Amino acid sequence: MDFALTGEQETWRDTAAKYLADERAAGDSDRTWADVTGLGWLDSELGTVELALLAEQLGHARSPLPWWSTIGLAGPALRAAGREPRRPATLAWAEEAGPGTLAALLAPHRPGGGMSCTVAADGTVRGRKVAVPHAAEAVDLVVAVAGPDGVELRLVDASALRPAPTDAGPAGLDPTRPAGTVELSGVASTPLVAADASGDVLAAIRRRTLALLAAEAVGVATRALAWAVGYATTRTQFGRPIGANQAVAHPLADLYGQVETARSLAYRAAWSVDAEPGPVADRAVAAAAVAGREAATAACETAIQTYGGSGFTWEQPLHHWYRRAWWLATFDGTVADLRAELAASLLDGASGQDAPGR
Amino acid sequence: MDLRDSAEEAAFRAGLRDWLARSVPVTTGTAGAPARGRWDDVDAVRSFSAALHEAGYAGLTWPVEYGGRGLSPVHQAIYLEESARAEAGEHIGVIGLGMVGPTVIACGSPAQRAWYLPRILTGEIIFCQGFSEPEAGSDLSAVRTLARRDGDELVVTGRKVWSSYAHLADHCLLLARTDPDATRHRGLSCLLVDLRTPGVTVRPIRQMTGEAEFAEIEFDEVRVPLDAVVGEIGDGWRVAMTTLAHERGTFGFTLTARLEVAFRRLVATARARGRDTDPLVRDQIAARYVELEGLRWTNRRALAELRRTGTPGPETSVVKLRWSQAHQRLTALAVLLTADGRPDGWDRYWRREMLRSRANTIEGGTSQVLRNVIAERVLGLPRSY
Ligand SMILES: Cc1cc2nc3c(=O)[nH]c(=O)nc-3n(C[C@H](O)[C@H](O)[C@H](O)COP(=O)(O)OP(=O)(O)OC[C@H]3O[C@@H](n4cnc5c(N)ncnc54)[C@H](O)[C@@H]3O)c2cc1C
Repeated sequence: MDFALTGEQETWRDTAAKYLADERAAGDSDRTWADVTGLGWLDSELGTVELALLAEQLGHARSPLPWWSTIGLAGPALRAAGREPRRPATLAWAEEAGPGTLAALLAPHRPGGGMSCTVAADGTVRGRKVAVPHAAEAVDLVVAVAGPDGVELRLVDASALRPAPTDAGPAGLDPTRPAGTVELSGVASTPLVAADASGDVLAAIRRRTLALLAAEAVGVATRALAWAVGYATTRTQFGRPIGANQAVAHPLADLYGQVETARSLAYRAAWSVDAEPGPVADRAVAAAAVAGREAATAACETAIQTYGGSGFTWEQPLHHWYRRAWWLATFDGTVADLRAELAASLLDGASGQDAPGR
Repeated sequence: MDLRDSAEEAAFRAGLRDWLARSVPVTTGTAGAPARGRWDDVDAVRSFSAALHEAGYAGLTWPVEYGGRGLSPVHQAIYLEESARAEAGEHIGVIGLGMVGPTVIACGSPAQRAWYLPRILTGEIIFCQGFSEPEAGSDLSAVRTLARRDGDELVVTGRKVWSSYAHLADHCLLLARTDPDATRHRGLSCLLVDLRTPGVTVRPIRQMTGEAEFAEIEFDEVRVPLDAVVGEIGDGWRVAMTTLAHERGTFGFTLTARLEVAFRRLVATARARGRDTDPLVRDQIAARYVELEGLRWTNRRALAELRRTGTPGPETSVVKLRWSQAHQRLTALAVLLTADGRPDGWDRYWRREMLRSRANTIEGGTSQVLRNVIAERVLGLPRSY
């Protein structure tokens, strides 16, 4: 039993942090994507723990890169088809009338799955997908469609789409993580995952993507806490640093506890995704997602309060992290949905306990 | 990172589980509620402690030369998890094993080690911890109990309060003032005091739960030999801090393992009362599960840090703070679930647990004091007090 990062993992994390702290990382997106590929962030041999460490740093930097949608959402489907995710990619699964969340798509896993997006015999797909993360930037689009035998995953070249995907853009909560609408009016597609395997691949996608977002949330929370602590140490009122007041210090101490437990759960979930897939990993991921989401919003809210009036200004970068925290808190369902899922696993299944050997 | 047991750890766990299955007495209450009084019987606790020692499960991390097994904290963690899961009682010498023993190992004299350590392990000597006083709780440096030197003896006069298990204990690790002129934490000393010495009176204090798990100890001109001092005279603050560090270090796992049991019971209660289909109850149960898991894995991260660097990581400081809140929320939820007046044993059990949990944010350092410690020592915020 060893819950320490290896030296290699630490170096991996630190290199990512260093790159993301650089101006270059925030610049021109084509160049950044080339950097990211060069840094090996899309390599197929990366374990979920390594990916989670990256996600944490990307959250810390609140990076706008579509890395997560590529590696977390589209990646497992591409890999299942023997392809490597190389270009910015994403997954389109939600429909206005059909199942809105991955969990809902997975639950009634039967032919059609309640989706209106369909594929014809010649491979052209028709329909409309909503709330597609990074829709406008993704070049490869993995689309869940209702085929004759059930839900299939197919690949569409997004650059060929007419009209191009529309972005909800800055009207959304986090403008760096826009979600868009994709109109598929008989566009060509290639098969990736057939209906008989798509349930497993979608479950794997969901597990991995929630685990990565839990780590990202921990990165967001860590950054907000660091800001608040820095400000509480330097800002003086009544002739002393504001952090000398317990009314300021104690919420930060509580937050530290919340962030550290969320970090433990995020790492554990990432490890679990590779090492113990199935209900144990599902519980670990859901617990990490709940704790991470709650820690991220709480950290940003406490930080904003600690900064006082300046915390409420546009100029103070805090709101950018707060936007990301809220995006995370509402992605593909809420904390209450995740808790409902946990409750089902704990109360309705045959065993309410994790194997005690761990 | 590998969160599985190593082959050797797995073997240790399997052997222990097997031993516990054979050695923990089986008793059940009504409707599956925990039986009352099972571990209240001092003789039963004593004989179980002796069995633990005989099987080699007492003092797992203590050096072999003092009768321990010299095993890693990981083994200790496995022991704490498995014994809690098996609903085994604690060794009668919890304070001696977890706090006083390690303090004597770290700061005591060779004679003290030779005499006390084996007796703590067997359960022959039961310790209590006499730090708090009516005027010195959070602020231990305000301790007033006086140990005045008289030849080769110290004469102790004063009053200690809230000393857990003092009514069962025969020895006390006492924090006293040996230099009344020295201010605050200078001038304190730690002593190993035999509670059967003339002049000592132990009076149980009744708690909110109606029980008396702790007591006050009155010292009236109690004569203690000089060689009862742990470390040097005037070194008491450092010794006491060693004890408190062990209290935090060892208890994190104990607390979490017990919380896991409490969680399992919560689920059983929800089922027994047919409330496991209520969406609000389900939401709360899931929330308590996330808290429990957060503590479990944070403990393991801290353990990895301890193994690698020899000192527990800063995450450790948050375990008691968050555990106490988690336990209070869990027991409060359970009381609400059993509020329908059905006397099936669970009602009584949870009422007691809920009341007892109010102490969790006070005993072993209050939550406010723990927050001060985290703010100052972990986050580096300016001192607030
Ligand atoms: C069940 C139980 C078992 C115990 N067992 C033992 C034992 O075995 N041995 C032993 O020596 N002691 C024991 N104690 C005593 C325990 O350690 C003290 O009660 C505790 O440290 C608090 O001290 P106090 O009660 O004097 O409260 P006080 O220190 O008077 O505090 C009162 C309130 O003021 C707050 N406060 C105090 N100082 C500060 C500050 N600087 N900043 C912010 N808030 C502050 C506290 O948090 C608390 O809310 C036990 C207590 C309980 C409840």
